[in-house]
Amino acid sequence: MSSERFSISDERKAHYGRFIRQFRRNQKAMIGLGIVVSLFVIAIVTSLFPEIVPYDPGATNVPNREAAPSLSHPMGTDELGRDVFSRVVLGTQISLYVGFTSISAAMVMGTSIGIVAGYYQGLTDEALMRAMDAMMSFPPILLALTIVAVMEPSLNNVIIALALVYTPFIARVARSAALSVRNESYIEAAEARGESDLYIIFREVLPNCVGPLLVQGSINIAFTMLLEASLSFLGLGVQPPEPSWGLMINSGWAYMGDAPWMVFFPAAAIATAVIGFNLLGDGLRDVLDPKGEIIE
Amino acid sequence: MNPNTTDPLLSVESLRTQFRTEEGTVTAVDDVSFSLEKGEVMGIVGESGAGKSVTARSIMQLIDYPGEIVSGSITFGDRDLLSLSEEEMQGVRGNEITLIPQDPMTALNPVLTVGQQITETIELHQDVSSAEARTIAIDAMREVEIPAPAERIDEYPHEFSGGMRQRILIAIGLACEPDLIIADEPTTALDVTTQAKILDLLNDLREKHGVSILMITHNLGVVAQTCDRVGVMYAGNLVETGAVSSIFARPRHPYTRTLIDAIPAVDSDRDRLYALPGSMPDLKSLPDGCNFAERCPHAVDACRTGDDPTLEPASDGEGGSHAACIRSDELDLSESAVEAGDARQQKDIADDPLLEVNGLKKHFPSGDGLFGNLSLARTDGGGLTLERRYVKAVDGVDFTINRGETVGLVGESGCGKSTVARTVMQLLEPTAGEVYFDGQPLHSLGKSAIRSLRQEMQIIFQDPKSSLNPRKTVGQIVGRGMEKHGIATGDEKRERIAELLERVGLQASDVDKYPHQFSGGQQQRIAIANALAVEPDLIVCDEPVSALDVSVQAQILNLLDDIQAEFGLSYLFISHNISVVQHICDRVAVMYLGKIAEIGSVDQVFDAPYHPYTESLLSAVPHPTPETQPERILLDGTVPSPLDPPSGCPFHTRCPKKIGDVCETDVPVPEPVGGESTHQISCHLSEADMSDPLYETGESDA
Repeated sequence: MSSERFSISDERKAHYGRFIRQFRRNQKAMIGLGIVVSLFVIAIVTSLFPEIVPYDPGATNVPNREAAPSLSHPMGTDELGRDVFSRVVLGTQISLYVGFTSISAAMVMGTSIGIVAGYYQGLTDEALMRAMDAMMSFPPILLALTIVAVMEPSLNNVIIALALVYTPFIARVARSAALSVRNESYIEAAEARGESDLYIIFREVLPNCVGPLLVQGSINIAFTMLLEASLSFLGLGVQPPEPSWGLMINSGWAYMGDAPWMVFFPAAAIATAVIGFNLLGDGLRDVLDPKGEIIE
Repeated sequence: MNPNTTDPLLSVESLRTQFRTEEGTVTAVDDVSFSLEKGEVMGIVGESGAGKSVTARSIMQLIDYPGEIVSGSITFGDRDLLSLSEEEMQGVRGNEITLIPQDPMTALNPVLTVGQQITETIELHQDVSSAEARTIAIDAMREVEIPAPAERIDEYPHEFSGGMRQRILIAIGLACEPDLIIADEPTTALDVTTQAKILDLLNDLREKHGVSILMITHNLGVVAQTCDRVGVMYAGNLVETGAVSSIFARPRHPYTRTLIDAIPAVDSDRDRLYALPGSMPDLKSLPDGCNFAERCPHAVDACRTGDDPTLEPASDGEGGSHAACIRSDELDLSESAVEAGDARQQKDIADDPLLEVNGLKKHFPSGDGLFGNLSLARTDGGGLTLERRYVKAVDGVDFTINRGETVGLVGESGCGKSTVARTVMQLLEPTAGEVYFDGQPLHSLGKSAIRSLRQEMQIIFQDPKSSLNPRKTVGQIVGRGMEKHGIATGDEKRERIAELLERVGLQASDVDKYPHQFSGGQQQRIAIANALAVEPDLIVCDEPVSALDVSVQAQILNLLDDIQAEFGLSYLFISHNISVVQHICDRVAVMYLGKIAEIGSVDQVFDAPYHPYTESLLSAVPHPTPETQPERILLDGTVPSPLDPPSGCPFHTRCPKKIGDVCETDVPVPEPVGGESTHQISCHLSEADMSDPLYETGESDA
């Protein structure tokens, strides 16, 4: 922040207090937040104490392969006798890591492109947004596959691919938010004050676009996790023996008839995460919707 | 109730409408009773939030969740509307009671033709074939004086001007021959010349059809012109009702008096306006006693206890006046509350130009997108050529502003006044022309030089809500300019912010609040503090009071007046409101289609000789006094498109004093009149002709 040194007063607390109150009253948002927070707790705890899971995720036990869920293996074992529960729990780390880093990168790129396009309009807007449209014209999975295939399958390249694929989606939202903020008189007042374009873009326009961007970001993070699973399923994402949910479905689908748990549990994990982030995004949208502010 | 009430068309008894919100229950309409006779026009006036529109919507039962009509009764003819089912109510709405909405730009569906929208209502309520409905619709359009209705019925709303769209809305309202029309601010969104025509139309229709009209408005001038009776609302209560003439001659409620005093009248002196202090109480927690006591100049202790006073007939009963004031009989409010000694100080303005504008032009490429302004044109029967089309928003404007002076720019919407302001400030790049600020040529300075000069020029916008960044506190907003231009930092900055806030009538403790925590008038005060923060020489005021209620408008105008001398400011004051301009400005420029039609001191411009356009603008202003309604000059048609302005004098297509071909061929140049070089008019007429009053001007609409 700048040199502003106003203490956080009661007025400001009241401002955020209203947001928190409305958020807490929104069931969707609270359920979504609950799921997301649980996933984070799991990811953080397992990365700090990897031994907390009952089995080593890489330890094979071929004699006990394709075992049905039981007390010792609550989600059964896979084709190499590895414990599915341990692998699903540890897979949370990778899914969240990929989802978060890729969407953060997409947010930074997309927001910059979108706000610049929306602020300058005209030729800049046309050039940037037509490029974004071109990227959006490919199905996300195809574009991600192409990017990963051109580079080489690895975790980092998956993140780069996902970030590139979702940048246009963020850029579109950022542009439309910036376009409406651009027409507000306070932008003109800032110009009349002699502010530079950079100041106006980052200090006047950006803070007023945060709401829709937050919503778009939290919904898109679900899609990146899904796409990561798809890429891993196709063998172009996370490489074995890392426990990725998509990879587990990939190796398990051949055994669907005999050992459905191999697919079911990782799929359920993906579904839970996707639903969690979607609910959170939906809830945020309800709370941040300017129409909700009219009831004063 | 009214003693002469024999058979009222509409009678509202103890109506109470509440809205349940997160912060508490808002009683928007509290115990309102009134009645409306057949063929009568009743006005309901009051500031925003007074409950006018909610009253109207309660009558039509258009109150949506979380609102609810809690108690009361509404009798229409012999039916109790509140006991009707939603289905029965649908048969009343649009058929027996119709609503004319406020904003003609958004009230019509853009994807349906106007004919479809009129016949829709007719077919819903009347058992007619679609061919018959079409005939009725064309008749209704003819009734509201839309030219060539049979041809225009299949056009879409965007093909009509604002005034014409309002006529279409009136046609929809009239199509089923209703008994009652509720007009909710029917002219607020329109220009003054269009407003005059719509009000005339409503008056005609009412005489012809005997329809009753409930006119909701905040404009006392509109009431004075159209209504028989008027009800004044404040904080959900009806505080005074009575005949228009008696309300204006002798208001019984102090609030009515203050409303009348707050209007800058066209023919008044430049006295200070009476500005009601404070703002309307919070409808969630109304004070004990009279709701108005807090702001009332005549309040006594008895006013602040007990219940809110109820409407009582005035003792002498003249004009059927009723007032909800315990002191209404002892107070004589027939005189204005503005004290004679409170006249504005006369200003001495030296001939010391701060801003000089010469031949300023701003042309915008028309159309959207990269190639939008290109169009194919065939010139002189030759081949097709690509042609760039431009909207000539400002087309050669000259004026100067001296130090300490206020120069007004008036004109209808689209005449280019805001573009002039933005071009002068170099927020838009001028197409041509010179702008000198304090001797420096702004038009040839580089970007960074202009940036440092920005400190000297500030702007105040029409919509205060939009001019303050909602994510910043008041302190951050006001302090930013000081920091940016190195005026003050740290503790010094904080002190100055506090001083400024107190100077514009806020509290020093407001620095940490966010803009949405203030009312519109307070937000405009913050905007003024923000403009003052960088210690400018010139402030451009772009319709600074148009979005505000009259009492708040008076406060802001007085504030602008006060700080002018104190801070040595010059103003470029842009407004479509002639009374406001006359009140605050030293000199005025009247703009029409990107050109200045007349410029001079306030007295010169608003007295003969006039430019014919100035004359018609002045005559169109509704006076807030029922007795003195001047003959109005109704202009033909609408403002021509600036894409393709008329040849010669831009005003010749509508000019009531057009003299002939010279108006169509020769562009008039500004010429001094009355032997004074300061008063210039661009017109081919002789001075004697410009001084001739022009009252009768044939037909109103082409």
